[in-house]
Order: sequence, then C-alpha cells, then structure tokens
Amino acid sequence: MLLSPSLLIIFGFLVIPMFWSLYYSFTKGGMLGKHTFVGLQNYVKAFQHPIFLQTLRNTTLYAVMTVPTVIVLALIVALIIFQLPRMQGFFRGTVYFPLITPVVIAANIWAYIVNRDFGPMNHILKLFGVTPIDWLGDPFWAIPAIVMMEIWRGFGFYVIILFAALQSVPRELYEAARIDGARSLWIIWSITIPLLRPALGFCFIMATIFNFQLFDAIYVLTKGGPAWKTSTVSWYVYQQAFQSDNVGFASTMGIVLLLVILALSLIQLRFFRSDVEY
Amino acid sequence: MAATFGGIQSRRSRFGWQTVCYILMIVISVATVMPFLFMASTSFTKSFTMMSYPPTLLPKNPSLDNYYAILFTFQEGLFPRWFLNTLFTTVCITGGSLILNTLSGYIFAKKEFYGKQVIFSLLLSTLMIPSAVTLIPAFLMINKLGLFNTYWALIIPGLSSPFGIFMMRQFISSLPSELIEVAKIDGASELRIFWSIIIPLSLPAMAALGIFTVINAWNAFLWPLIVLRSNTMRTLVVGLATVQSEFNINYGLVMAGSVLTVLPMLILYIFFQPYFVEGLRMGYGK
Repeated sequence: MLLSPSLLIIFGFLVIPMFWSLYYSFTKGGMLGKHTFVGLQNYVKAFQHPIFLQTLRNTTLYAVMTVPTVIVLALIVALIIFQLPRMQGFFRGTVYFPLITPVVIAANIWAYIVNRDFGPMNHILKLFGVTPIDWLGDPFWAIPAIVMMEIWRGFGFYVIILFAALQSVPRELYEAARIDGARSLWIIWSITIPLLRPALGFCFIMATIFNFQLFDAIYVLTKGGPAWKTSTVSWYVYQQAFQSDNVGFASTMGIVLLLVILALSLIQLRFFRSDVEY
Repeated sequence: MAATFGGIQSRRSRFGWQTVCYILMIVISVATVMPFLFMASTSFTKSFTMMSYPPTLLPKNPSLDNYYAILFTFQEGLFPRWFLNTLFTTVCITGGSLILNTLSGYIFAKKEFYGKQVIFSLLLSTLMIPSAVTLIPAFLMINKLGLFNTYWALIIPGLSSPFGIFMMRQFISSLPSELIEVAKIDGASELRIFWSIIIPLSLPAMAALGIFTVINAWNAFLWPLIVLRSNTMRTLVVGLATVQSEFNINYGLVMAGSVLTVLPMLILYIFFQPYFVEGLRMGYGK
C-alpha cells in the first residue's frame, strides 16, 4: 500500500512508456492522430536508412573513443590520489566538480575553448606550430572535440568509484607482496587491478549506458551537423519525434538503441564476473 | 586518516614519489577546473573585448555589465523568473522524492510481501532504459493529463527514482530490525515507526540522496526542454541553451547566466561534500 505512489510514478513514466514505445515501433503516425499498424516495416526501414545507420555508427564511435579512455584515466588518477598522505578529499572533490555543472553549460564553455578564431585550444596548439583547426565545423574533428569534452566532464565520477574500491582492498595483501620483494608497479598490475575487477566492470557498464545516450552536448555544440556527421541516435530520435513528427520510426530507433545497450551490458556483465573474493 | 600504499616504496624514494604525485594531481586539478575559470573570466568581460586575442584568464577591463544585463534588462527580467522556476521545481522534487524513496526503500528493506524480489529487480533494470525510448510516451502521457507546460510536468516524474529507492534500501537494510520490533510491541503504527525511527536513523543517507537529487533536478535538460514550451516557464538550463540559438551569441551574457546557474550548486557542493562522496559509495556498492 505504502509502496504505491513510488511504483505508480516509476511504472507510469518508465516501464509503461517502454512497452508503449515498443508498440509504437510497429506503427506509423505522428504525435496526435491515428497510428496504423505496419508490422516490422519500420525495423526493415531502419536497417536500410543511411542517416540512422550513420547515427548508430557515430554513437558507437563516441562510446569506443570515450569509455576506455575515461576509465583508464580515472584509474590512473585514483591510484595517484590513493598514494597521497593528505588532501585526498580535496583532489577527489576537484576532479568531480565538472559533474555538478549542467552539460549545457560545460558544452557552452567547451564551444568557447575550441573556437577556431579565439579559443584557447587553438592558441596553445599554435605555440607548437599547428595551424588552427575548426574543431566543431570540420566533420573529421567534430567527434574528437565532443569526445574530449565528455572525457573532461565525466572522468571524476569513475575516480570516486575506483577510489572507494581501492580503499576496500585489504592492506595485508600489499604488505605480503612487499615482503616477497615485488616492485610497486608490479603490485598494482598483479594485485590491485584484479581486485578492482568488479568495480571496473561496474564503471564500464555505467560508462557504456551513459555514452550511448549522448544528447545534451550534441544539442548545444553541433545540432548533429555538419550533415549528420556528429549526430547520435538519441539526437536523431529527438529530431524525428519532436521536429519531424515521425513518432513510429523514432520509437523503432529508440528500441534498437535499447537492445544495443542491453546486449552490451549483458556481455560486459559476463566478462567482468569475478571469482575473486576478498 | 589517509589510506596509501604505505610501505610499498622504500623510505628513501617515498618522499620523491609523493612529490611527483602531488605535482601530477595539481596539474590534473587545474586542468579540470580551468574551463570554469574561463567561464568566470568571460562573464566579467564586456562583450566587445570578448573576441580579444590571445585568450587571457583575467579580464582586461573587469565589469559587472553582463550581470546587470542578465538580471535586469535581458528580456524584461526573464532570467530571475527562470531562476525561480528552477528553484521551485527543484525544491518540490527533492522534498517529495526524499520522502517517497525513503518510504519505498524501507519497505523493500524490512517488509516481506508477495513478488518483492521480482518488483525490485524490475525496478533496477529500468536504470538501463535509455531516455530516447521513454521520452515520447511520457510526453504524450503528460499531454493527456493536461500538464503540458506546467510545473507539474517536471515535478511528478521526478518524485521517485529507481536509483534513490535502491540507495535507501541498501542503507536501511543495515539498520537493526530489533528497533522496529520493539516499537511494534509498544503499539506504534506503521507511519509512526517510519516517521520517528526510520527517518531519523536514515538522515545521513537522505542527505546524500538529497544532494544528488538537487543537482539532477537543477541541471536537467532534455525533459524540461520537451514539456515546457513558453518562455516564462523555462528552467535556467533550458533557457541558457535556447538563448544561444535564438539570439546572436553574446558569450559574456551567456557566461554571466552560467555563473549564476552554477553558483548555488557550487555552494551546496562545498558544504555537503562529505555526504556526497559517501553517497556515491553507498549507491554504487564496493
């Protein structure tokens, strides 16, 4: 009884909409008016649709470039902070700071930083003799520019998680390894990293789920352009549903995205399943 | 107490090694915060000197013009209205969801009922659903309920979250069940137990969840962008994102608005930081 308000909201705004979307994905129609059942037609169309395939490729590219980088960086930073005798809290607080700001604002600032004519990024590159790059306007550089922003804004989250995991590794293991004469880098590689496996797995799954939904940064920085080159699936779904009033097809693409995320999460869950207990 | 790999390094090299670590962390921290210093600096720069090159961290002729403009003259005082919209919805979402999530967390932690495990795993699996899937039906639902372009459209879906329920359940599971049993024997009602025993004991976890909820509600973008249409109803973040595309970009003005948007969260972050890190640890396990 007391559970009902919470369940009503979660089922009402998450679970039911998911099945509703699944139904729409088999229909044709706009926001208002009738939806006619068309079977698998939308799915067939999706896998022949050049723009959708492009956005799916882009989304994968963003994730492939962002997820491993952000986690390796976070692991290194967490290990460094862990070595410090003082100010651990201060540094953790600092690297997490970008995450308390809205993506929209972070992206606005980023647009200034990578601006071709007066941004600091090109200014620094110029000192090394690099000719100014039109980061967000050039189809080749736009995706890396957005990936850099995502890395800068997001890595602090994984630092906190991995740091907490480091704290829970028993000290005796290190002591024992040291008595055996092991070098510190070897200790990190052969003891710390295997013990962090569950936490690393968690980070990879979360990062995959987050990065496959990239939207806010695209909205602010490029609106998916030039020529859909930076568009993600989420952006294209939004564009089709709320600007082109193509609800059926938008739902189909959303469901495909859900299936991709689900499949990747399950694969990662299996890969990171750990037998090590401590 | 600092936790380190104490003893890994030999005594002689430890000092040098730690110095290297400090220098690395200072470089990383500065690089992380630097873009925000640019934001602050730009907000104090008059727009016509904005395109000055090379970029500088300190404004050459600092002025408060941008702040005056965004607070008083911009669209006849629209910005303060956006601020109040955001404040009102954030307060409602945070207050409501703290009570509902704690209540649900308590029930999942301490009560037995038919189908509990199934419902709980279903709740957790909703964390994987991308917003692209739920967006359209949720939007249509808000329309059907006649809530389009009202504060309720923001508040109601925010009143409960799978993550919040999960976090509160984890915390309340660790509380001793004997307390509840004793209260029951003394004849306390369910609501009384929740109000006088569970809530006071859960305050640390509620503080952590509360600050997450405040930040998420304050910074939300996609959902408010869709369900709020008129200019006066916008939240700060949506306002800042759309201002950019609708008018000629005046970076100084946008950055002044950004500083005013981030500032309340920064203050909250500084005061509640211990709860914050603790909350992340509680919510995400090991």
